[in-house]
Amino acid sequence: MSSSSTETGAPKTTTKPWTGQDLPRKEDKRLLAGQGQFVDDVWMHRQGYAHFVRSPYGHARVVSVDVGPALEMAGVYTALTGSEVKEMCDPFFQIAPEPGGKIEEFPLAVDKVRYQGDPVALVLAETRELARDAAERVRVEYEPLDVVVDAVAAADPTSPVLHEEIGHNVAWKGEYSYGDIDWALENADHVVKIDRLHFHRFSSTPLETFGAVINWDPGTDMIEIRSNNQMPIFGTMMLSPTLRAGADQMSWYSQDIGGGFGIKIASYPQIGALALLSRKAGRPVKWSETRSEHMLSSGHGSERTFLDLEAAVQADGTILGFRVRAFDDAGAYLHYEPLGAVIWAQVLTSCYRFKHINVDYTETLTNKCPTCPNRGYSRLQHMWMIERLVDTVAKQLDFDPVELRKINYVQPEDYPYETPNKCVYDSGDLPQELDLALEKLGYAEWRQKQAEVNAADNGKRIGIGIGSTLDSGTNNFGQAQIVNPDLPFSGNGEAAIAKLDVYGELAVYLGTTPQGQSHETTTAQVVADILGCDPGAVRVYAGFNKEQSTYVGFSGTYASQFAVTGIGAAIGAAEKLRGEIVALSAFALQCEESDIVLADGVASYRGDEERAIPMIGVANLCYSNVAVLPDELADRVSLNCRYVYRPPFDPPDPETKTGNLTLTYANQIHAAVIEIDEGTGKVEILDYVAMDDCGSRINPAVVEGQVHGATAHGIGAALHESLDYDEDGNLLQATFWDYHPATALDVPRLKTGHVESPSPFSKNGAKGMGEGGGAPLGTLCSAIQDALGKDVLVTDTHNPAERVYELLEGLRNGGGQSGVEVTSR
Amino acid sequence: MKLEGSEHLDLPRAEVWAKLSDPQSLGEALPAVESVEVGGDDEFEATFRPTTGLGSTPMKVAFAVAEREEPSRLVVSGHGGAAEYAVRLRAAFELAEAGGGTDVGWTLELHLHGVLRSLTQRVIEQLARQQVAAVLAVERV
Amino acid sequence: MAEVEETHSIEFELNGERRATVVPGRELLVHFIRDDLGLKGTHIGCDTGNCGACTVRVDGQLVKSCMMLAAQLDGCAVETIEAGPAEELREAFNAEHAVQCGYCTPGMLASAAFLLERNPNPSSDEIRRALKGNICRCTGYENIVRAIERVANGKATAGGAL
Repeated sequence: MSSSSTETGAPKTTTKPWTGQDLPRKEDKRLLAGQGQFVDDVWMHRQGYAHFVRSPYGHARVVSVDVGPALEMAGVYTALTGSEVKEMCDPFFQIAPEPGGKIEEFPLAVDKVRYQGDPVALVLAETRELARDAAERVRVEYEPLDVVVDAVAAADPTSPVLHEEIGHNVAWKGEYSYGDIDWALENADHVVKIDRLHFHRFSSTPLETFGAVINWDPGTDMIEIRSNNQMPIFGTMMLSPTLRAGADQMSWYSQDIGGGFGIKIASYPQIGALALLSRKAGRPVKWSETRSEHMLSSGHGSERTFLDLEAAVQADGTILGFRVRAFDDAGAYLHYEPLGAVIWAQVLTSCYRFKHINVDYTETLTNKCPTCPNRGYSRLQHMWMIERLVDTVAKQLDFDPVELRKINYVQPEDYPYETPNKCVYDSGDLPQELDLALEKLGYAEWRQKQAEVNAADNGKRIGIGIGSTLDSGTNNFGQAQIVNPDLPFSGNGEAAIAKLDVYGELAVYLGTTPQGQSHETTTAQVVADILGCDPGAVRVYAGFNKEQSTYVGFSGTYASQFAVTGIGAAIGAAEKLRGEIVALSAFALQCEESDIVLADGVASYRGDEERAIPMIGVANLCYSNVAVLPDELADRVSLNCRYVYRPPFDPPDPETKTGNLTLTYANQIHAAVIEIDEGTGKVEILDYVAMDDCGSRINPAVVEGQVHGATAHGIGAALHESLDYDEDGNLLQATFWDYHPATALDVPRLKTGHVESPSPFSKNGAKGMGEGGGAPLGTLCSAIQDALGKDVLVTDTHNPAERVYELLEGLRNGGGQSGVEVTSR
Repeated sequence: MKLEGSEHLDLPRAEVWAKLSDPQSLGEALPAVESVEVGGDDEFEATFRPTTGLGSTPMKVAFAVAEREEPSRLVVSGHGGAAEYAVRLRAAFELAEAGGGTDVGWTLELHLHGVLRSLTQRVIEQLARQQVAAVLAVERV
Repeated sequence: MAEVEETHSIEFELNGERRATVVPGRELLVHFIRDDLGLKGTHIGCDTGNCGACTVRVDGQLVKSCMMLAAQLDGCAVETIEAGPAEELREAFNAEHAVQCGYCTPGMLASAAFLLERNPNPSSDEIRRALKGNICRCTGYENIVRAIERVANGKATAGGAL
């Protein structure tokens, strides 16, 4: 029985495959009509509205919680407090080994609050407004405690302790060591030392905040969760033991999600509290987070401080390697951390061929919102540090920034390239991509313009910058064992079902939860090619619906993997289905399977279009006319084909911290021209190019849309967006009044281009690419540095006018303490 | 947040002390105060409406005299809050005779907790200085 | 102590249809549209009037419906995405891949339509200025601007993929 589309002929009417076309999206019909279904659109009969009571303090003891005044109000159904929750639940399962593993966290804060926004109670009322009024009446007595809001300070044993169960604020610590950096630093021609680099805290802030409508049914004990969580299987794994309910009791549903970017992985604690509230109230519970709640308590992107970065550089520009101490700020609780403590190792050397690496990594707890995966989780931080390093080496040692990168890039002939920690970079052509980026930018012309403007000395400076990044996709979850050898996780996968329904309708079900990544369209394109039909005839049901979707332990939409795992599963399922359709058709048409052609929704005998059976006929044989089939055929067809795509991975080695941690490596190289106003420090982007390489592109327009979005997020973070806490643990950007998401005026016209280096490791040569690598962060730092020269150092990812102004002042005052030191032999 | 400053008042120190150390007059001197309720000897509660970037919100702050060294040093502490915000402050006044008048040196330690902190961040320092200036200015009348 | 909530009688036009009802004094227009009128296409993205996801037309003007009370609707005509405006614009958005998650889309369409009514041939800068009150976190605005340019340049045709 043949299951390959190439063996049984191409579709007969279209000459061009659907895969690779800029097919306009199927999702758009409903979204452009305002007919999407987002979680706040969902309504359940008898529902109450929930509102959380949250701590205004960054750190405090909870002396008492009195919900009495709230319950006295007419229209208030019930309330839930931390101490009640503690009785009903077990603490959340911790990914960390000890010490972090001893942290006890419940869906509501119990004896202490540890960050501003930490929820202490939950009220349920008849209306949205009543729930808020009721929440305001809950009387909480707090005893404020000292606060720690810096990761390096938190690593000090004398800092205020968040979790008494562990007695200090270091959740995890480990050293990653490859090659011999001591030897390299001792023997290199130059050592470039940077005192401190800081990757700031920001968030992708999806436009739609967290929400859920939950019913813990009093009759069946089933927990129905309508939410916009983007990794419900992870939510299930966390909530099932905590709520003391079976994973099978939880049914998750979502359809349209208004952006996720990783943040919507972190809504499981709120969902847990809401489920308990529903059970207590005996009615469904509806909750929509306000934007202020989202800023305070949803999840923030990782913040990382790098100290004592030392690079060993040879006279010819070869960078042998580096050593650094990294302090990651996990916030008040470990949500998904400390997986971030190993995930950056997927891109250990970023785009470069360094051989000697030493990273001393400390994960600390602070009185801030817990961090969670945020677009480029954990890798952006590491790659930005490396790009600053390369950029600084070029500037300080007077190397040409383009040539220095090219010398150190992984070269096209090196692929598949094994990094010092045994990751395998699959494919790419970085030098060519950089050349194309600079050509598109008009690099030579801009250098000329820059010389003119900077010499004119009229209050403006032009800078030109480059940023190189990778987007590692399809994780080997076995890397969790590097952080905690006792974790029973390894590999990755995704599941899909392809089926013909009763009248021959073609449908595909995915365990993924897209938040704008066009799964319905790209899946339809790929499946249409396999089954010889039009993508319009393929109905794709994405959105984690427990009954209809099929799922594995890694299902969801995150970490730049859909093009490989989700599509891989859809391909496998469609090929299985094709095999069954062909077998049934061959029986019906009394011919060999190799004579069957599938095209335009019909199976026909090759060369004789009249001798054909439509899909409705094929379905009929299997569903309702099954006695006409020979037993051996009837036994092996169901027209309901489930397939689990499984990437080839071995478990990594926790001892040496090596292994193949990700399957594919897309990359992005950006180049930008900026102009600084010397009077204000304001940076304006004059020109911007984003190049990407994600292997085979299923839908180029969709790919480009992701590149645009990732670039906008990066530019926003670089110039406009930051999450800062004051010394009392107050978040200073708690609304969109103060947190400034990039607007249409902040993002310039983007020029894009691409290189296509198919991956040898995925079914279709594609690589996941949705996150992007955060290239704007390195690019804009590089451009600002270029404008400022070598006497001051750009050390932070965030460079609003005030910071650039300070750097300019540093220059005006004679440079001096720049934070970089070069020693040469 | 810590602020400090100094003022010269054309009033004898004993008078300045009397006005500052009296809860009723101190409370009323605060701008944007809607009402003052004097408790015991050294305590009062003031309800006021500070204006933020997005409107005004009523706040009840309970003040108490923390330290009293007549006629040269007065420390007042205050705290207030509701479900979603809290305020804690400590204001110290040092009075010294200067010619016929009084030199007043002051320090203010102010802690805001809650979304109020981010909403007032661009105006809070001025607001605080205005409060102190108003307290001292009233004494000029 | 039960508080009697103040209410207001209002008469208004909804997507061309006359309506009358009673609303609580403090109910926001966006909640009235979504919960009371059952029209879910208008979205909520923030609580300070910054994001534009709730943008509708009231008496032809662009209004952030989270910054208006339902009670203020008395005597006005409100138009939401469900009125089905601007076929050309929607086709252009589809053709240029200007939609990803779709959450900002109804607000974007309202602002885009408003712009093109007043300025049928806007420059790319004018387009961005017109969209500055609508946040999008997915598209980076590039394709949204292209879609509006496409309509302005008259390239949009009937009978697209929708």
